[in-house]
Amino acid sequence: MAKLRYAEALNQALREEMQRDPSVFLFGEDIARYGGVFKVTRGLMDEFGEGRVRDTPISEQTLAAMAVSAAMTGTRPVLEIMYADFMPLVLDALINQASVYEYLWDVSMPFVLRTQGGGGAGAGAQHSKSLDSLVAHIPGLKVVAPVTPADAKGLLKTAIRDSQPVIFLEHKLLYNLRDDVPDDPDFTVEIGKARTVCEGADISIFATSRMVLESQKAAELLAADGISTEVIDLRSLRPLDLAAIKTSIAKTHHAVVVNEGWRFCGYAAELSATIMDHAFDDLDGPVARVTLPDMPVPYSEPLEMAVLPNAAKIADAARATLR
Amino acid sequence: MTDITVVGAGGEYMESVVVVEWHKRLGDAVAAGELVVTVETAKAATEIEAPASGILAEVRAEVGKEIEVGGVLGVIADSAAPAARPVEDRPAIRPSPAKAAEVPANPVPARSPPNGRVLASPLARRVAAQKNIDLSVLTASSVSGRIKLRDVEAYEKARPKDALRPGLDKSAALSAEALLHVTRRGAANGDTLVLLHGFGADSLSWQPLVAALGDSASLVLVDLPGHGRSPAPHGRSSVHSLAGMVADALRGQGLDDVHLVGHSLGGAVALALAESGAVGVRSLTLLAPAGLGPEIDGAFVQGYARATRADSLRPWLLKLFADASIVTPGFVSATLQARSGAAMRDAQSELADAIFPDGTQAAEFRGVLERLAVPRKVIWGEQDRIIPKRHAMDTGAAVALHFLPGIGHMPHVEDPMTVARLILQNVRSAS
Repeated sequence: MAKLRYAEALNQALREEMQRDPSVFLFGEDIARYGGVFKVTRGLMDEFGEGRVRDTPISEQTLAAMAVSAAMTGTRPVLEIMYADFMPLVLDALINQASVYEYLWDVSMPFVLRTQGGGGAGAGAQHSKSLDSLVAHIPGLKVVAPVTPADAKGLLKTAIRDSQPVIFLEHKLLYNLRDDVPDDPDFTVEIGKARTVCEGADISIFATSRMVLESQKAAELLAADGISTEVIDLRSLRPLDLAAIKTSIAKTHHAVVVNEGWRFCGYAAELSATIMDHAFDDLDGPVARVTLPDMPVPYSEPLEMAVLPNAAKIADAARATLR
Repeated sequence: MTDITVVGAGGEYMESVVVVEWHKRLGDAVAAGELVVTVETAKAATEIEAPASGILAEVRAEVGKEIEVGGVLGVIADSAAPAARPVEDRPAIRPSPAKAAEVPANPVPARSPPNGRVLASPLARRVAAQKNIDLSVLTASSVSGRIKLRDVEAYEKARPKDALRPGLDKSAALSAEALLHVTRRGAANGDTLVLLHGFGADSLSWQPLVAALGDSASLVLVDLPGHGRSPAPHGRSSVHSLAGMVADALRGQGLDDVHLVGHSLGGAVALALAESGAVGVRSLTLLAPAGLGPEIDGAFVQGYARATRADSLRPWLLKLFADASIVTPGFVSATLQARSGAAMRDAQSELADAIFPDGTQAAEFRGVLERLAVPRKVIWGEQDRIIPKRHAMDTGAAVALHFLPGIGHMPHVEDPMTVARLILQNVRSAS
């Protein structure tokens, strides 16, 4: 067990999987010589050579098509898309190719698309989005969003070994997060299982990505009011751990769903509807939803901080649904 | 200055109430007849209206406080008089101390959208259905007006089933020998009066008479099988089988020398019990008793036993009383609440079918009433619409008959003072 930063844990996962399976290779913009803009792939080109760690031109559509072709023809590509904001460029490959080829032609599609999103870094409207719902919407894709360095490593290794396409969502504010990460090269984290961050009796907060950390802070704020809060990290956005959601609501009877993406048709809306579908009779209050408002993420720091979901907003939503 | 006191139809069935909600704040103007405070009785929430117009000048019983019937809840002053205490004085109902910050200062009544559906959370709805609690009698503690689980739980905790609730049924106990529920009231010693209620009622229906009798005798209130807190009888019932279970219950209480008072079906049970000799009976007072003739309002028995809603129960309750003003909405909801269990309604329907088949009183005890050697009184309301008063006629020269003018089938509720006086006369004549 070593203390690693989130970016280092990802790097370790990539290295271990490349050592384990020679068919694993990486490509993307500035990932080889530069080591990636967030340094996730640092040192890997030197270790595995330019054939397995490739810099590419700026053409996300081409990259996604390459990933699909490579996966269909027997390799395990790991594609990095520098910002989640660029995901619309790869949607055709995801919606019309990667997600349906197994259905149409019975071929496996073992590729991982890594990207990072989210606000809070002053990156402006075109580099701060959380487009989780855009990819989670597509049947045939798996979508994960780890928060802890250990989950980052374990889920990335599982994603690379998976025979279906996995969209791996990172967050730019998580890369420097430092925590224990198992050294064991066989350490993996199962896709489809939520993580209980803290247990509580009065209300459940279901959160994704960096919002899990804000929800933890919200739980502390609520504890000061005597409210016992359970925080569940939905690290697997799809498939969703429905059992964990139902179990928690059966205990607390109140739910807050938190996602950093837009509100309308967003991932939080999906969670809310899913809770209605499966836990309606256990609810003692309406499901509260905390999201980004339906607007671009502002560049101005005070404005950006004002619109992003945070611990105070989550705690307020929890109090409102408990009233 | 006018006192706001605990009155109203629900008062007949209760000794004390708990204040649930003030609808007016100190200093608010109130009009006579306007709703000012909701109290919770043993059976249901009762709304108390302003006795006069003016300003709510004093709140003497704050939310959550228990107060005796007849006690002063608050004071209405002339419009000009200043409020005696600041508004902030009122504490809130708190479901748990830990969640104090979550609870609004003033609980609000369950909000009813225009379609009349009560606002409640899915969980509250589910749990209330499981516990047979009518959502419309609950009070929401949330600012949204939505009934939540905590409101259902709070209501259930306050239900009269809880024998330990202070001020209510202090002596309630389940006797060891028999399963019938027995409540001891009145004086600790002296003559023992056993009160047997009518079909579809329970021990609480004696409350006005219990109050009128005061400490003049020791009172034993028995819930008949399938009524009140007594379980449903096993197998098919008869007046005799009911009397046998009552005898067991009395022996379980160590009683063998009692004065029987029976109303309606309870009157027939009292006759059967006296006939059996299972316990020593010193006098018999019958109020509009069954068992003296074949006629009875069969539609009433069936309709009353089956009623699950206020609008289906109210017409039958109106038949019981000569004075329709007794049957207020609060009285209807209190009665409905006491009959909210489907199992109880089913048991009573079955009992009615066994004892009053085809709307006829199958068992007759005229001969018993004639033969008994103890003092006997029959009291009947002149305007009884359930059992004809002429059943009292020709029961033998030694039976005293009292016909009460302007009274229906419920003399002990409609005129408890007169009934108490007559019962005590009968009891004294036995000694």
